Amino acid sequence: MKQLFLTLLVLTSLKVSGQNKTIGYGEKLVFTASYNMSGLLTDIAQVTMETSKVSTSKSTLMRLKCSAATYSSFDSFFKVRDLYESYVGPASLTPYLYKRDINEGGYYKFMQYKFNHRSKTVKSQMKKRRGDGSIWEVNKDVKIGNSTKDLVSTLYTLRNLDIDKASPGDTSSFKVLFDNKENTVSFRYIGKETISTNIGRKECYKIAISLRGSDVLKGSNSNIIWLTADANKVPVYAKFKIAVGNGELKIKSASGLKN
Amino acid sequence: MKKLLIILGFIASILAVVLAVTPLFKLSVFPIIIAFLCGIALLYFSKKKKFKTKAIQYVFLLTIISLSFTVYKSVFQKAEIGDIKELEQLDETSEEDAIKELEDIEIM
Repeated sequence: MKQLFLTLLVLTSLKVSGQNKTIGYGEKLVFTASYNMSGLLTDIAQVTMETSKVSTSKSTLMRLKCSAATYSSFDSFFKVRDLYESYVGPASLTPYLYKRDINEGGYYKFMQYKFNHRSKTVKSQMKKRRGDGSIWEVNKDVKIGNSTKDLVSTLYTLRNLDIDKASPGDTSSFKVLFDNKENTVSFRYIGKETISTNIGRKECYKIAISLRGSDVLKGSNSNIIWLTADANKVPVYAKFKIAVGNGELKIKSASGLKN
Repeated sequence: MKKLLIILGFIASILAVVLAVTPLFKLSVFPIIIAFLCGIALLYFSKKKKFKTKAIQYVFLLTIISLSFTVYKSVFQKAEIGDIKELEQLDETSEEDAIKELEDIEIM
């Protein structure tokens, strides 16, 4: 009886820790993306992360939306209009549908993943614009692992981790499906740091991000994200190193936070 | 030495003007500094060896033009996002399409 009770308690606590306690509907985070060249920062785009409620005839889901748009001064130079969406279960943040629509300096790509968690497959659809303007479409079935997520839901899942219980050096890895390939994203907790942001001076969790199996992010300790050390774990600052240089993401405003 | 400084000064000042008119205007600070240093060095040599100062004037003129552009843009240019009507429209249609797609997906 005692063992049964203990097992039930452990199972319940695991379930609770896997529940979404951080992200609510109607949250809006606005960031400024800057390009860093020899210490000079140039603001290039605005990145918005929003959540909303989506209802179908059978269920209610959470829509996680990330969009990026370059500032007007850059539009004639290199116009970016990106839209990333993930439709997830509001409690578990399990993705069911992922859409990526990117328009970057004339380059267009659309990617859609329909997750089937029972058969552990993803129906992927890719559309690309050819040089002559016609659209080229590729449909594919991709096998995925038990906990494979998309890029957007992984970002939100990071905020849902129990970082307060972690000690510096602790790592958490996730399988992420990107461009029809499963990659492993690792988050390593570095420690706490207090930084000044546009939403005030905040004590933050400093987390290093590394991507195995892809060369999008360069360096092992060059990609760091700062999450507020409170119940909302708002990403307030991020530093990243990509093929074309260094960039920064700074929070501009945060509204509709759950806690 | 004089020729080298004149060539370097001209290249740096022209590059500074070009960068100052692009959205990456902040980067023009580096060529401005180089052109300015070349100009000062040329001024020093011209007084010492007494040669024509026409080239120095051009280097300084271009440097001042690019510096004015950079300062003006840094002070008055506000970071505003461009026309996002298309993106907003895409956002709406994409959500509508997604709801239709989600009807066929098994939600666990």
